[in-house]
Amino acid sequence: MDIKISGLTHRYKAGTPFERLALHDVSLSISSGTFLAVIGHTGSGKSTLIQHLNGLLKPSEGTITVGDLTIAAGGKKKQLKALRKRVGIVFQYPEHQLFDETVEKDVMFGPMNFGQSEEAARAAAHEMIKLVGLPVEVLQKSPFDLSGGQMRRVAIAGVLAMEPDVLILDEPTAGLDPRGRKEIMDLFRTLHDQRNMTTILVTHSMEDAAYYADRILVMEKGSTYLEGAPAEIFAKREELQAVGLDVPETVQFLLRWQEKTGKPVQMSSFTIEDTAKAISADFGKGGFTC
Amino acid sequence: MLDNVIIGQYIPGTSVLHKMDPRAKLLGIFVFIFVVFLANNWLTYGILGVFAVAAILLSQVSLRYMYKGLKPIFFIVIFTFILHILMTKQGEVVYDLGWLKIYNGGVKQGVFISLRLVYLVLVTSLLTLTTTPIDITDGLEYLLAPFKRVKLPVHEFALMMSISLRFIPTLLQETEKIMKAQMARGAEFTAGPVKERIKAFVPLLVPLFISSFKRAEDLALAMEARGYRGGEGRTRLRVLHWGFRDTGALLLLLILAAVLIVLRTHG
Ligand SMILES: Nc1ncnc2c1ncn2[C@@H]1O[C@H](COP(=O)(O)OP(=O)(O)OP(=O)(O)O)[C@@H](O)[C@H]1O
Ligand SMILES: [Mg+2]
Repeated sequence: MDIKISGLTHRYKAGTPFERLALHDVSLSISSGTFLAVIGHTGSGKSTLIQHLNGLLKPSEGTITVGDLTIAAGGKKKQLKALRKRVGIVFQYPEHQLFDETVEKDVMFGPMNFGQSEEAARAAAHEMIKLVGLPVEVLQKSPFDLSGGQMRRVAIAGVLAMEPDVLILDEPTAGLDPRGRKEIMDLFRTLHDQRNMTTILVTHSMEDAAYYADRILVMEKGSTYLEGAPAEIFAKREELQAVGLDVPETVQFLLRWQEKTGKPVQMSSFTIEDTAKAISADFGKGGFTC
Repeated sequence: MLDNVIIGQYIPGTSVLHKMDPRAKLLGIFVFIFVVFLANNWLTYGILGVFAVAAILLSQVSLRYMYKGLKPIFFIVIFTFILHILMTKQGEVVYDLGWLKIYNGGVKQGVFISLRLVYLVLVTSLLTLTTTPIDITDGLEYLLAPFKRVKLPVHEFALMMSISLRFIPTLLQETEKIMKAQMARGAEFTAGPVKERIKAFVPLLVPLFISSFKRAEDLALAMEARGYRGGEGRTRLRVLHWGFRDTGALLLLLILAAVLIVLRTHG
């Protein structure tokens, strides 16, 4: 589902002494099927931006178009429900949204709000719980008896069960252990590929942005700063450092390597394996001199 | 969503009201509450109105902001007004619908009581708007100190109050966050029949309760870890200063009270 944002400006608490300009004239298009990572220093407006995409925040100026639905400043409320069905958001610390007696009911909450039958919602709950890597037995447990990591997975299942076309993830892995992080991020990438979704990931991890995303958006002080493919973005180290960011560790390593050996290395991909390959290629050429 | 709530909100500033000693402000409010009840005719209500507006102007809090913050209580004000119009049967009939007669005494009562409410809310919200929660608590604890003699837990009371005031904005933030998360899952808080709407609040209230209890536990633990043992023998980091303007403000209030006593309708 294509997303188009034009001239989006957002002011929090407009008309009070606490007014704050959080987004300023942001224009952006995200074509259907893209996995976009949004990075930026804390307070740069990432969360504000993504909350506009399903109408949780209304633009002070500008428009947002998702598929054939348009949200404009001062627009009507009518379309919001349709929009929210299409666009699912996993918020930071999503386990805070759990409330129902059992995990099953909690996961069914979203689908049933959007008019699915009880059976369909239950089926979705079973499918999603397995998908996020939990045993089906947890479905009958209280969500509050689970561990933090399990609660996180339940909450994610609750959003996935709505089967959104666009999935927005606001730092979905904050506070998880390394293995849990990787499992969940891999899950998002797999889902993205299998279901033809459009995925938007807000993250502070350059490594995740580099590894999982097709495109990267860099936000700074409420405006878009850079936008492009990971290879393009991470070729601009100075620009990133100027706004408090940096390149992924694999790239840092290769840059160091290049500096020490004095020979350029191939820097197109960001996995550990690719980095190892790049170096061993260097070895192969007999370039090891230090 | 909840941007307009001004209860417990502090707006930093340098106005005269900001600089006043919290004890003077608390005493002032206390006196003002009595003064409001002195008014009983157009003139005295008018004088109180001038006084309230003057206080807002002095505080340098924007009138628009005050107005927006008071919107939620307009409902109560209007309700009171209508109730008085319907229930009071004094004076001449100004409007006759057969089954319903409206008396001018009722209209007058309605206006007066509504004004009284507005004045009280305006002036008391000025207190929190211009005083940090910590100052309010310090002031209260100081003013209530005499009651310690009779074993009233004044310090604990002040502490409880400062904690509540401190956490109002946090709670609002949390509410907004959970509301958003549930709305993203298709929950609606503002539409539908009343019964549905009440049910819709469960997904909001349960997480709020859980996080509040958790926060309370964390806070208790943090206080204990830092050796908090209650009020006995604690010294203060910040000392309150009573100045001329504080005495002046209280005198002004007493003068206002005297004027109202003279001008109010007797008998
Ligand atoms: N509810 C709110 N009321 C007022 N100001 C807000 C509110 N939420 C965010 N802001 C302000 O808007 C700006 C952008 O905030 P936002 O949450 O979008 O940043 P972010 O990029 O998501 O940061 P982080 O990486 O810390 O999550 C910040 O300056 C913030 O202080
Ligand atoms: Mg954020």
